Parts: sequence; structure tokens; C-alpha cells
Amino acid sequence: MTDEAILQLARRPQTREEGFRQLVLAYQHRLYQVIRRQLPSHEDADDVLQNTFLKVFRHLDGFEGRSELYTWMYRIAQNEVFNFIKRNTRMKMVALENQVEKREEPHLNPDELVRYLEMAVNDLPERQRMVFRMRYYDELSYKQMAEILKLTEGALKASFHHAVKKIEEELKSKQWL
Amino acid sequence: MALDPMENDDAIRKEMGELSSHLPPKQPDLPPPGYFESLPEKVTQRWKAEEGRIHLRRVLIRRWMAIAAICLGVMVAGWWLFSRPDVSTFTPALTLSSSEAYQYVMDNISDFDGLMEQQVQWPTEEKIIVPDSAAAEEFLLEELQGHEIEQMF
Repeated sequence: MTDEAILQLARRPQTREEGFRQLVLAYQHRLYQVIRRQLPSHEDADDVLQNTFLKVFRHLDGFEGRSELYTWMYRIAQNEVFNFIKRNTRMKMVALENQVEKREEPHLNPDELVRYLEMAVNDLPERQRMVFRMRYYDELSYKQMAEILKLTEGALKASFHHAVKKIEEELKSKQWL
Repeated sequence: MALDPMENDDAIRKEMGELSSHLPPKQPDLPPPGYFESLPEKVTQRWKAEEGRIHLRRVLIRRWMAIAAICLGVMVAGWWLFSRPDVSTFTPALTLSSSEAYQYVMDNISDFDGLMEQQVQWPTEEKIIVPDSAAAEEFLLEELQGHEIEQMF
């Protein structure tokens, strides 16, 4: 179902519930991955994802279509994650401690390569880190990223390419590749 | 139009292949089985419950506003009725006895300082001089100048 069809259903009082259901069906997988990657447990991600959809429902009438529906929802999801982490600062500290512990592990196996990748991503400059995450993990198109970050697609491509090269060098220098 | 995730994923994979073949593949975080099947229902139920609460809150707010408006109206009407300068407001003063009034003045004598300092022009009684008989006789003799009183008429 297209975004337009979902919006039409969700904006009519008679079909609103069905519209909301279709909206969740269309975007739950992608938004779950975006949120889950940033939170330590499935329960937290579930909580934040449900809150994200509720916020989307509440403000859907105000969505003017100036950006893509997913871009708009992605922003709401990121805000919800941010608010959740702010509310649970203790949890954030525990997550950081776990990350430090993981960094100290001396052995390497293929499953853990993904974790080391995340560490290498964390060492990137802020802009490159943001761009890499949006492109690699959240699978946003350059157009969507440009709308969110207010940057040109060319600049974003350059940032992403630099980020990939830096990560590769970092992993190679530590003999993780 | 919703972006096709598969199409976008292919584009990213192709781009990554061009940039680096060494980076590990993404590992999606999988939720418990059946999670995505139940989520749409769970979210819409939560939304319906929330809508019900919001509706109830709106009704309560409207009722409270109506009650507040009525109370305000009653207060304004009361103020308007009782603030008019009619006799009813002076009735208590009329019931004061003279001793109560005296007591009040004595208790609040400092309030009357201004009045005390004013120069009051009290009305003076005109003196009526009543002459005694000897003085009257003397006055008459002076007026007659030696004439008999009968000669005057």
C-alpha cells in the first residue's frame, strides 16, 4: 500500500483505525531496526516503537507532506529514542560500561566483528558517524538524509565514503580484518 | 510513495561493495517470534484507549469550565446587586443606639482628628438686654427734656 493510500485511510474518521494499522504494518520492521540498534533490550525498543507510532497517529493530521512519510516518522523515532535515553540515564551508563567491557575482550571471532564495527563507528567524527548510521544501518536514501540533516546529497555521499574508508583502516590497523 | 526497502538495501550493498568488500554484513536485530504480527493490534488498541481518555478529559474540562462560568456569573451578579448605594447598605448604621455611637466615636477618636482641627463657626445666641426700671425712667426723662409725658400725646 502506498503512503498516499495509507494517509487517505488514516485521515478519514471512518477508516482511521484501518489506516493506522496499515501504517504500522508498512513501517514496523524498519523503525524497529532503527530503534533497537540504539537501545540495549527488545523491551525498551518495543516501548519506544509503540510510543513512536502513537505520536505519529496523534500528529498525522499535521503532516503536510513536505518530506517523505518515512523521513518524518524516522525523525519522530529518533526523538523518542533520545527522550527514552534521557529518562533512563542510568541505563545509558550501564550500556557504556558494557561497551567498555566489550572493548577489552582480547579474542576475535566473526560474530564479534559486528561489535568491533560499532566501536569503529563510534570513533568517527560526529557528522560522519551520523551519516554512516543513517545510510548503513537505517538504510535511508541520500535524499531522505539530505532532508533530515539539511545537507546536499553530494556532501553526504562524500561523508559516507570517508566514513567507510576510516572504518576499514581502523579495523585493519587493529587486525580485526 | 514508500521507498522499497529491498531496492534501497540493494543500492546500499552495491555502494558498499564499490567502497569496501571487507566490512562485515549487517546483522538485523530480530524481535521475539510473532512480535510483528501482534504489534499493529497492540498499538491501535493503545491508541483507542488513549483517545477514550482524551475524550473523557475534554468532557471533564468542559464541565469544569461551565461550572466556573456559572460561579463567576453568580459572583458578578451578587457584586452588582449589593454594590448599589441603596438604603439596605446603611441599615446597620440606623440601628445604632446613641450610646453605641458614642462608644464608637470614643474608640476611634483618632479618626476624628481632622474634624477637631477645623474652625467650626457655632451659631451665637443674640443677647436680649432687658433694662431695669430705673434705667428706663432715666432714659425717658432724657428724651422728654423737661416736658410732661402727657404733652407728648
